[in-house]
Amino acid sequence: MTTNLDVTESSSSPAPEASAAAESRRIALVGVPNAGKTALFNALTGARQKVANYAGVTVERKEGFTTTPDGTRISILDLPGTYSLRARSPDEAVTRDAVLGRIAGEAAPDVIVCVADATNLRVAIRLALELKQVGRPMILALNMHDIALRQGVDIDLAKLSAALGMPVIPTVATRRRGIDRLLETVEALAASAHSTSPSSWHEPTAAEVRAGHAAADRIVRTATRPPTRPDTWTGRIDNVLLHPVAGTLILLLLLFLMFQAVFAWATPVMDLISGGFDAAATWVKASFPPGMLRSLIADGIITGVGSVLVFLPQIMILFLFIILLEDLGYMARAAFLMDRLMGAAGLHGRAFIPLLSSFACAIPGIMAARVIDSRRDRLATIMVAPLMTCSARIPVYTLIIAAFIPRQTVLGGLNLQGLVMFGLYATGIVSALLVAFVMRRLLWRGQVEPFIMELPAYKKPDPKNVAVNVLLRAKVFLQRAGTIILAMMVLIWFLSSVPGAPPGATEPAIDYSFAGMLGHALAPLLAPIGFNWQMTVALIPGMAAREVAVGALATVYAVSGEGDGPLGSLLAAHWSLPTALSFLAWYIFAPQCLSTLGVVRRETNSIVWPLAMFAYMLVLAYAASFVVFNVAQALVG
Amino acid sequence: MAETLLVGTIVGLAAAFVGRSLWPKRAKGCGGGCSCGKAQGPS
Repeated sequence: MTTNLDVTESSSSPAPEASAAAESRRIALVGVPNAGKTALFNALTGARQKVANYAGVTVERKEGFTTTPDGTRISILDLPGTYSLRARSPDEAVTRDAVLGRIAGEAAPDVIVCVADATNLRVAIRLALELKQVGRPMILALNMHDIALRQGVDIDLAKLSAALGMPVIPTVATRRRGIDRLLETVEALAASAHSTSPSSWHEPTAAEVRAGHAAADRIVRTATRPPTRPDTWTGRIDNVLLHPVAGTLILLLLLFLMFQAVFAWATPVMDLISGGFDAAATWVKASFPPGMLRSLIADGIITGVGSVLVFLPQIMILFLFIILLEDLGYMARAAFLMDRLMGAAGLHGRAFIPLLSSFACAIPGIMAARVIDSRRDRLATIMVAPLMTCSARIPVYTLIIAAFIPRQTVLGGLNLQGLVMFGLYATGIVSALLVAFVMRRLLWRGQVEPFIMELPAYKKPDPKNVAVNVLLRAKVFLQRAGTIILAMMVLIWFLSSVPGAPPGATEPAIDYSFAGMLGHALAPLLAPIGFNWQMTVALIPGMAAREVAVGALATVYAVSGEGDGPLGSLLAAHWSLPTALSFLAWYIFAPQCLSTLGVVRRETNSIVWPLAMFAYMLVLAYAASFVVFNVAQALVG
Repeated sequence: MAETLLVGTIVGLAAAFVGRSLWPKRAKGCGGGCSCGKAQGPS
């Protein structure tokens, strides 16, 4: 079997490849949340879409392709999880429309594969019974079959198949077990045209929903025997991890350890990377004749891009922790623990997943808010998502912390730098809760809708999934460094070097450059918060990508020739502590990312919300920096 | 002269790339400079 990594993501347009191949089949993966649809999609297509051990990871339709041994091309749709076709949130509507063939330019799938978690069959069977009304040929993929066997769940596949009236194929998506048989069955079903009938699906009434549950219960009783070795560990562990006091303390401790590790483990590798770039810049300066090209390569490209790339180990360590916790099934527990706090702030319980996503980047976080059905709950989540600390802030935070916060232990062995990093993340979270609280009080008064979430069983993290996801994060970071950050560095170098100093100039050449002029012109606006003109210059390209500000500072200081050495040492020499703290405060709140505003506009279908977001975040950033700068100055003197 | 031309070309290409990346159409999904990698769920 050959696979195709070409994964298209769209909610309305058909994949051109699919329409081009006349003989191709289309199958849709449908299932309740956290049944392993995306893991199955990855196993079928060879793609590497994000999977995690909690519900709500997929929020839009994804399409991939595979080819069977007999040459049939199969297009596979991975759809957001849903318990029913009665769509209540935008992501569930995508699933309903795809299954019913209501998406413009797309036919209904040839075969529906209902993906079931074999350890939790009842909800999957209820969904399968509803899906049968759509009239398409169907297969039940009994995923996580290995875990069910380990727990001693006895499923009579023949009885289950007879009761449902569809083939039942056991699969273990993460180990690619059952995939070939699944594809053979898809092919056989799709080839038999008589198995398709007109859709009789309609929005079920309450009585029909109850009848569906009763039918599912009957089938479960007929075809399965309860586990002989029920999973008692999950319950025992949850007694501790979900305890209001002990659980919350453990959550804080885990987050705290994560940031300690980010600083403690990354330093040796960071020093190596930093040393490599310094050596490269020195070599270029020694080998090339003085001139524009030498300055562009050494001061612009190597210094600028190198100063951002050096943070790769810290980003990988942070995501290693997050992905391990996700795979383990802990993140859903964290959502449960945070629900009370988030509810008090006026955020819906389902906002936890979008906000958690925003630790990587606000863009997938804002898109993940589609899992929230109420529009006002969704808007509140979207508006605060950028306050969560995205990975693009990490280079800025760690640079300033390493330069200004002493490497010492406090309070009996705690790394002070890790403590400050923890504080910055915590400030982002608390600010998001406070802003949500104020917004709900001012704009959308009323009760937050109740939240029901299924807690997944604990699972041993899959080393391959963890490695793939951490490497994916590294790849994304390196791609950014090689594209947008590299291009921005070239532009910043140009603006910092042109025009050159006039004959007889007394100031450094950069003062006469475009960047110098712009920085000096804007500096009075930012002087009250302690920013110098070099920082002002760095903030402008930071609008394209936050971490570019680090590279921009490196280039501006390199071009101005204000000393050699690591950027951190240069900043420590040129900035005061209040200025550095003010810069950190700015970065917690500032709307420093145009792409985020673009996605808010798309997701809210309005220009008002991105403008409101930009305005409130700018005001918060300025106010926070002003307070931090002045308080620090009063204290430090 | 050749050096100026080369540097000018590099800067021009960089400007075109940044302009294309920041154009509103590119901000849709994950092409516009976010660090998420995939337009989907967490991390």
